[in-house]
Amino acid sequence: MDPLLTGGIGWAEIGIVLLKVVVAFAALMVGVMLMVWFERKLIADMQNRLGPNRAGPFGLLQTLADGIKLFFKEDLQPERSDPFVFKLAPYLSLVPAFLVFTVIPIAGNFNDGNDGVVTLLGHETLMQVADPQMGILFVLAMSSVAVYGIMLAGWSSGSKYPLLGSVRASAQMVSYEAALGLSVAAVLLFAGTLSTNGIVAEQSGWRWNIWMTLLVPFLVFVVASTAELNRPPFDLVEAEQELVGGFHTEYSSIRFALFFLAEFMNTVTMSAVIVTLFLGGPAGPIPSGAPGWVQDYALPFIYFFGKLVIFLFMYVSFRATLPRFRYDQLMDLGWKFLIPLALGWFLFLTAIKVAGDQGWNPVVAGVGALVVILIGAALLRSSIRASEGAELEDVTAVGADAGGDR
Amino acid sequence: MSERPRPVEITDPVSITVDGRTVEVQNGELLIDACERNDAYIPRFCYHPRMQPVGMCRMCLVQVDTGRGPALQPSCMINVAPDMVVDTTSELVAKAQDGVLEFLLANHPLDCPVCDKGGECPLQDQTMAYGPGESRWVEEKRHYEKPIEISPLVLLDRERCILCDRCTRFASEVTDDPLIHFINRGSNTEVNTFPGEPFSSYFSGNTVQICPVGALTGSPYRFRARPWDLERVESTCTSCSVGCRVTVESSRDELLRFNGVDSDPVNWSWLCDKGRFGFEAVNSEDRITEPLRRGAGDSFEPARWSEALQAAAAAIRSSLDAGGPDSVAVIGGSRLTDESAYAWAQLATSIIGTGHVDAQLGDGLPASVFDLPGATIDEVCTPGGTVLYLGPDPKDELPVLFLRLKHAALVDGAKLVEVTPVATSLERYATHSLHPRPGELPAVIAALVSGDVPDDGVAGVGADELRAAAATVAEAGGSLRVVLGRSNLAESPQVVLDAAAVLAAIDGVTFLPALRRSNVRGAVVAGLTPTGSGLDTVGILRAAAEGRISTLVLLGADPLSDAPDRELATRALDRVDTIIAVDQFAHASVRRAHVVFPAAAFGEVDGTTTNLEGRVTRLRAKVTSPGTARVDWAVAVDLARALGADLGASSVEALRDALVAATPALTGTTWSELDDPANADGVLSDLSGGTFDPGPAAEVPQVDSYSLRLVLTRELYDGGELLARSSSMAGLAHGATVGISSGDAERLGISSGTELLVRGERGSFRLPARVSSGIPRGSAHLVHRLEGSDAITLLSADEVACDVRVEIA
Amino acid sequence: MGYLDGFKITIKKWAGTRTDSGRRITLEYPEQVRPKPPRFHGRHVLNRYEDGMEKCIGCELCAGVCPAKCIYVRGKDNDPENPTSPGERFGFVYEINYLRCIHCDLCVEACPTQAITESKLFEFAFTNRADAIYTKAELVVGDDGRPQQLPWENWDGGFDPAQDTSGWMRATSPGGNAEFEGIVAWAGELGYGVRPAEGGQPLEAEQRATRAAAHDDHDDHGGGH
Repeated sequence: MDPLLTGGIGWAEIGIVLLKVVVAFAALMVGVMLMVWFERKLIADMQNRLGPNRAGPFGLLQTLADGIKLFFKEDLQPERSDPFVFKLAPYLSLVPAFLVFTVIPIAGNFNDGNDGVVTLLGHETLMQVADPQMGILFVLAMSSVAVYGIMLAGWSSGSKYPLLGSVRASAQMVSYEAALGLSVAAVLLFAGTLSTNGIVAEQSGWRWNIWMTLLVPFLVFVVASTAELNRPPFDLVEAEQELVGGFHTEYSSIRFALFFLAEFMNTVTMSAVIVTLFLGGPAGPIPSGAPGWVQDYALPFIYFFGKLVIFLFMYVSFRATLPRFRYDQLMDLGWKFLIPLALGWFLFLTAIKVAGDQGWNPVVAGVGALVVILIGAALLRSSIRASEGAELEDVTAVGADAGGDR
Repeated sequence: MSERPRPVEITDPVSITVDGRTVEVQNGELLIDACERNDAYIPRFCYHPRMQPVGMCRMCLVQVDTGRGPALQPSCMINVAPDMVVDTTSELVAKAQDGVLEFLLANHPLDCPVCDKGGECPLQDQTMAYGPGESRWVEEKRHYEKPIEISPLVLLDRERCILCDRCTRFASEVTDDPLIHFINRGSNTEVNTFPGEPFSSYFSGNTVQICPVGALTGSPYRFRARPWDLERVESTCTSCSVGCRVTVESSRDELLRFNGVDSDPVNWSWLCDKGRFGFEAVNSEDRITEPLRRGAGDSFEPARWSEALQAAAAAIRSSLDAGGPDSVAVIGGSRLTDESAYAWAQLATSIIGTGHVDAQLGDGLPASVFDLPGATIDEVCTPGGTVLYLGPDPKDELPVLFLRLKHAALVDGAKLVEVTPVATSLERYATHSLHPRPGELPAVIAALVSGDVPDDGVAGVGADELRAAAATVAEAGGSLRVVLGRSNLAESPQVVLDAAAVLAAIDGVTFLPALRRSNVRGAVVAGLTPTGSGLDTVGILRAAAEGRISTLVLLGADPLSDAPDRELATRALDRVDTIIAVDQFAHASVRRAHVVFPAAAFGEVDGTTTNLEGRVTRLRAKVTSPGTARVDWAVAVDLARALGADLGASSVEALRDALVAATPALTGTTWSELDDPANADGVLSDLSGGTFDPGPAAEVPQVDSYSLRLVLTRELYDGGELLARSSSMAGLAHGATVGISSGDAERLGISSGTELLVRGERGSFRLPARVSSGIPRGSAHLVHRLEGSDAITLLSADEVACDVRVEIA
Repeated sequence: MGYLDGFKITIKKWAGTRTDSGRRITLEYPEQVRPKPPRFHGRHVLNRYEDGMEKCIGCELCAGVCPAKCIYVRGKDNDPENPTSPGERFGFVYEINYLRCIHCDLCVEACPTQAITESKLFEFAFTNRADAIYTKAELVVGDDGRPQQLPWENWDGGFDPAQDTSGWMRATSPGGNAEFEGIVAWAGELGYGVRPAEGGQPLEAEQRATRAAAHDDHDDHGGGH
């Protein structure tokens, strides 16, 4: 709970909230611009190229130039499109990205049980726009709304390619949300609360969830989030029909710019979420002798930003390095590997935690859980094998029938 | 070359074997034609379907099975025989073709990039198809100065000439103007003209078309475009009324050239130079491109179409209010298409209600000649037939008709009886040539027909000649064909009608009206002719001079230049309140007009035209008109609307079909029937005629022994409007001379070149003399519209013939 | 693990800026311009002989062969006092519409006098349709034999646009002269004379020497020499 909002809401509180909103909005927009620049420059570096270097110093204003160009393009609406939904869809993609960022703590001293509270203009508040009790649930809900944006974009275009593209995209995103949710559940075991502030507070003092949950949920979350974002290597939705464009085929000018913006905003935001969930957010060593503003604002923000950049780098290097997944491989990975893994690991962690709480031997509980998991995995594998084999038999049977007639 | 073999009817079939296939062909026809008709095209250079073959190029060699085995024979020189076996594709034939081409290319310069023929060159095409792939020639080729101007219209490049003899044969055989021929011999043989005698034939342009290489090229087309730039459409030439079929070729919306199309009933692929190079006038900068209205004094100001139409309609309405329909008259229309003529005829007679319409300008024959039973050109030129020629010099007025008549007389054994005031170009081929005094033709014809010849002759024609001619005419009987025309502008046209009346009495005689303007027959049939109490052009001019006509419409007509009474025409045009002109150029009469509408020209207009024999053919548009010039019928439709009426049809198809529906003689010539490619040669209208009423006979004028009777004829190249606007042909007109017979010259003591003073009642001028044996005693010969003499000023519409006094100046 | 080998490559490229794998190969256009290969299909030029006469004879073969119909040529008689090209005919109107040109160089192949060739210029940065139609005045080489610079072209990039505008060696046709049979040669050009042969092709003098040495290499001239 944000201490600002306890004890009455007056003009000052509203003003501070508005200030935070404006700063967050501006920061996110600039951040997206820089993210695009960062991606283009980094990929160029990895490909022996220079990347944009003409618009502004080091090409920093390239995104701005592209935005201005897109602004001046003709805004088309296909004849068979549903006008209202067509216009609504980009916003359904864009707004959730903004909203998720509102629950991310970007600064604040969480060491020594400080809870990240800072004093801003004479009022105590948290360094995030809002801190609802259901923080992480809100994040997951917003990514689900983003799926709507893509699905409705394709459907409302009134044309075949976008429809197919959006259907595949939404199927992909929905599949990986399950894995996402399950790995978040693993984190929640240790955090005990859905509020992002609480999750970050729980990780203070080097108790980062990345090793507290024994790494696997972190990896699952990274892979699932890459698929959620429709980023390479899971980008066949927008890259396969690259010639046509997938769900955003019929969009031009500002509407296309909004989708584009939404994708990169989501990247920044998702990286922030990973940092918050697994790497302790703004947590890091803060020398106690430092001045207050350094303790509360500067150092935590630098830590947060540094960890954010690592993940941005990771996403960009995924793009530069990895070839694309085929759609069936993607679905297989989501349903037949990540979800069972996340679920199984959640089981394992629960076993250890309950054992810890109840006073059983955690090692025995852990091994017992592992055995159960392994049996489950084996059963899963054999069932997968059986279904693939059945498919194969069908195929060979058909072939044999055809061949047998000669 | 786009020539095709002459159409032939298989009346005597024999079967021969061509390339292993048995086919049926006409006995006795040339092997090259027989093979081409049966899908076995034989390459050739010197052979032309309309000329006698000479077998000079040897390209048409084919293997024919003679009694002693297969041998190479030139297929253009062999006639088919029963059971002949021909192989056009054997190895021996291929080797022969390869060899012939190698010989032809031996001295042929590498001019293809700069040669006008490149792209449509038979030598190029046949070398690609049948010739050697590489050259073995390493020696120096022969050189000539290139090109030389053998006439103002034709250039000769002797290096390119392959000595096929086509141009020389054409000049001597087809046109009888043997002005180019081979000179020198052996490897120095070249085609050339006699020194000082240019190739000034009226048909020189045809040699450019038939030359298989780029040796002969036309100056107006030189370097203008390449064949792949050109778009083509087939149409009919409208320079004269013969109606030769042409292809109209243009590039980038500009007419670039005309080529002749082989139309069997009409022109046999030949064109005269005036028709062939007449596109330059269409492209002239002097075209009227927008409506004009008379401003202050003599100046013209551009006006919008709506303003001009309103002004014209207002003038017509005020005339109708003040003087009734009879105060409006329409002159002209013989250069319009059938549909335009019909539209104007409907406007004038039905909507305005006047009967004073005349397509002719008084310099032709009254429209009653079309009531005589008609003959086609083919019928006139029937092999072995008899033709009575009462028209103008065909070589000057209807050049391709001259070629047809000459061919009939020389080759097909037709007997030509020429009865003209002066000798025409047909004299050399005529069996009998009579030159009566102007104004006294009917008496001569009566004598011819009856055989009753007084011993001292008739009208200046000797009795012996007359009797011999009468015998020929009597022999022909009902198969006599008469060519009727205005052979003398200085003679009243009634004279010709009186002569025709005598001939029409003979059962079976048919007439070909040789009237010069391109669509005079079509315009008259469409209704632009005075009926009932309507006045003809001379009558209109008289009425206008007396003030009884207040609005005069001129449709492509120039009465000031062409009406046979300049003084009357001037008074008439001065007296009329409003003159409305629809024309392409601002000639003398248009400059007197008050409202001028710009008309579309040949090549810009879709429609139909009727030639002198009543054949209706399609005109096709290829280029767009300059500025806002429109086709004449569109002006009529809009003018009708401005007068508050509706012409009923507003498309060319609708107008044509309306005209056909209203005219029984035109059955079978609807738009869709004429558009049918099977009717590319046109459709004949009904030639049975009606009741011929010659009208009151003309008085025979008294002979004045001190004067000479004037003969006024036309030449092909004169100061006419379209020629004056064609840069290549404007300078081809001769200077004026006065022609005197040798007898009169001796009597007066003059010789060719002596400056003479010619005096008539209305004017006089000085001209050099030209003594000629073709002019009968008692006549003086002047040519209309040549620079130096405005001979038409001497004429009066009231006189049957014109007398002049000639003295040494 | 095999999956992660890919990352080794991209990280190495990113990390090394001066080493070979991290070398940037982008050229900073327009300050740096990559030199073009000898037969590069760029903007056309109309060449002139060494004495200044234009090579174009207005034969329209280039217009006729152009598959995009982008060339408009009209020929005209040479003024005898002041001829533009040697011979009877010269190109009076010569326009190429660069919105349609596909740079196939069929026109260069078709030209009988090597009048039209393609240079290494490639900057077609006109801003309206009228400018896109290059007229003869813009296409013909200047008095120094170099192509004309158009207002929107940038020649500062350290490359010589006049470099080798005629990257094409063609045989002259013997034309009835035994001296030239079998020799591959090239007419001289204004300002440059006869350009050097392309790589691997022998010069005229060498070819003559070879031909003299090989004695009789003709096809049959009708039964032995």
